[in-house]
Amino acid sequence: MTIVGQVMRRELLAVLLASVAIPSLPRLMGDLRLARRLLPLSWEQRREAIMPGFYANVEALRRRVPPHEPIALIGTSRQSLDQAAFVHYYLFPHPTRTYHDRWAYVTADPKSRPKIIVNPAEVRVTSYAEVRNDEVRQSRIVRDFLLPADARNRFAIPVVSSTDGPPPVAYTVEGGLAGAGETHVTLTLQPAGIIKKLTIRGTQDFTDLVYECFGVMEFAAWVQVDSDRPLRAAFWFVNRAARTAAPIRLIDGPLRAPVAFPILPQPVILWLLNPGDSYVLAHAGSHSALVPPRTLMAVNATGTVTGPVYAFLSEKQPDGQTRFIWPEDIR
Amino acid sequence: MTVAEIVLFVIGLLGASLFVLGVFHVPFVVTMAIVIIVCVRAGFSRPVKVARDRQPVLTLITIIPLLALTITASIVPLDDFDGRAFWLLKAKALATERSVDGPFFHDNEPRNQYPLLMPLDAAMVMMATGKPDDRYARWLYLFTFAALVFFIRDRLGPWYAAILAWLPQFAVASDGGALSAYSDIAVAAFVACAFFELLEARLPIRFGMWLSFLLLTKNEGLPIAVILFVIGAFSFRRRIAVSAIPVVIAAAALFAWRSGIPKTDEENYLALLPALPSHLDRIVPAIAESAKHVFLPANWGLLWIAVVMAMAIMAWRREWRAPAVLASMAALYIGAYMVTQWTMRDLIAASADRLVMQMIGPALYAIAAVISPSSAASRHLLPAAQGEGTQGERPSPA
Repeated sequence: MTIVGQVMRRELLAVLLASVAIPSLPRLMGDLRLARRLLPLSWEQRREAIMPGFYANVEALRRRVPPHEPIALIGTSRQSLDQAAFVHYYLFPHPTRTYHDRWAYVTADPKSRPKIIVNPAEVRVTSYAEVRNDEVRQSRIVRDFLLPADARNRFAIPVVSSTDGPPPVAYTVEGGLAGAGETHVTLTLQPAGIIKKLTIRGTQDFTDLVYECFGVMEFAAWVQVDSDRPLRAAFWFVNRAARTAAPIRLIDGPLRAPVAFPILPQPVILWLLNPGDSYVLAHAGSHSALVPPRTLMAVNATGTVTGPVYAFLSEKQPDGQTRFIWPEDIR
Repeated sequence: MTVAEIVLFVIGLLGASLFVLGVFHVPFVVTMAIVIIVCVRAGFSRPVKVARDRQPVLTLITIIPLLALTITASIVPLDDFDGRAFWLLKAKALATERSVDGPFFHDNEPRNQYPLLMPLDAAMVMMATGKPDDRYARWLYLFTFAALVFFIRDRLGPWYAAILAWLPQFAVASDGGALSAYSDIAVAAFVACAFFELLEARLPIRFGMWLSFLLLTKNEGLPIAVILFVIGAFSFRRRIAVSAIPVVIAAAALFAWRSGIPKTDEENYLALLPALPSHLDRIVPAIAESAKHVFLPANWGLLWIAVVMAMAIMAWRREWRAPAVLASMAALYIGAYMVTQWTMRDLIAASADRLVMQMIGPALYAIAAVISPSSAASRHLLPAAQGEGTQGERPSPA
């Protein structure tokens, strides 16, 4: 090769070398600076430093859970599943099992699935209800709802729920409360009698009213609402899997007159709500029902309802929507 | 073999032996003892030395990033994704259970049927240090990179070693780089070794060994081994039958092992392959998306631009082996992107840079063969027999 050729060759290779070294150099320097910063720390502290809020929790979990007690890592998002992989990695050989969503956990054999549930995103022991809540609160089915103009100090939400149906069906109650100025609100979940006090400024939205306010999952209950200022309110019964929402009528108290509900076969259900503090006898068509105090109970829809109760029908439609028939709708 | 080549060969031989004998439930300790005896008897303790260019500046330039990586690896804990989520998790399981098909592999773990060569090597480090942890096992990946750099130096000269040592995707990339515990650098090393073995056409058994290491390292190792084997048949001619022996043994062990453990979330590309004709409309997007990564200066500098130009010149000169290997491997990756059931753009974003790492040996060779055909490339073992470059020299014993 000629001298010119050799010089050309070196120049070409030097350009190529510079093109790879220039982007690498600052990153290598950054790594070295990080190394210098971590040098005084122990190996565990270094891991905590590069995984803040994660590795320390993994070690805390390792100390808290007995060595052979299996742990369920239930993902609620792609990111939390990634975190689950790392929890698994650092805890290994501690037995863990990763569930890609809560349904995978729910449908697993209850005898063999781990009892201890860990939220991998935060690396903390949690409950199934909390995992469900994390998932539910990621999105809302009812969007841009408008609250009605009429406001009142006391009313009841006649049916509320926070429960799972067959996978992937999940029922919640979404809605909102709005007061003029600072409003102190007392919500009472019945019949359990769990009280939640809220101070509302402007509007407060709910994605899963029952769990958010009372920290429990309920199949069917109702909520008494009291406030020191009139509230505007609207709530929907939501089937999250079907992405449907049925408006819930807010009520003041028991029926004021007999209501001639249509006689409909199952799966239509007649709901009887006794908002009072004593047992009452209600009549539904040819049947009578003794309704305990502060209780919402379901019976067959057998015609006209009389008695000191509030009543309404519900029907699950093929698309997953729940259709309510309220007494106010019946002429 | 040079020191660098021996390091890579021992990494491959140990992992492959542990795997193949592990399928027959030979204890890891016994296999390790056998490998040590074989290595000593094969003369690995007496490596040959290559007559090096006296270029202290380039040597220093090559060592600087390796030194920086060594300091970082000794202080900063591992924090990459796949290394922890899959590869070293498997290593921990192998070190704990001492079996390639223990309970871990029957427990619905992700990527359950990934080949185990590197995890087995890492497991040996864990067993030797008594720590089922990444602290010491991660050195395996850095050593593999350093060995690859010096292997390239032995074969192509100090300029190319320096370029490789500074390549951002190898040196500093968090996913797939030398500070991570991915297996792509090992694949790159085995491809490079097999490729140069193919060019030299000296020892078909060693060529077959490199291919067997390749197919036991990552899923894509098998089709790459097939590509190299087919192209190698033109170099070795009838002797290629000897190369087939280790390949067949490794492939048989791999399939036997896979048949005994559940498949979890891996994509079955073989089953997807018949759908390729119906996905021809994805070829342009697949190439375009991949090109965005390959030609990104932040990860590759001007390397792949130089490689493409070198390939064109080599094709014009009718020097076909390196372009054939590179084009076939690229076609393999593009084909996989076309048939994938993942979102193609996401898969490319997650893997393109790592996959092209695997082509670095033939890529650097292509540049060397064009820029310095009569000095660096040919001097470092470019054989005349294949008509690629001028008469080559063998490594000179020390």
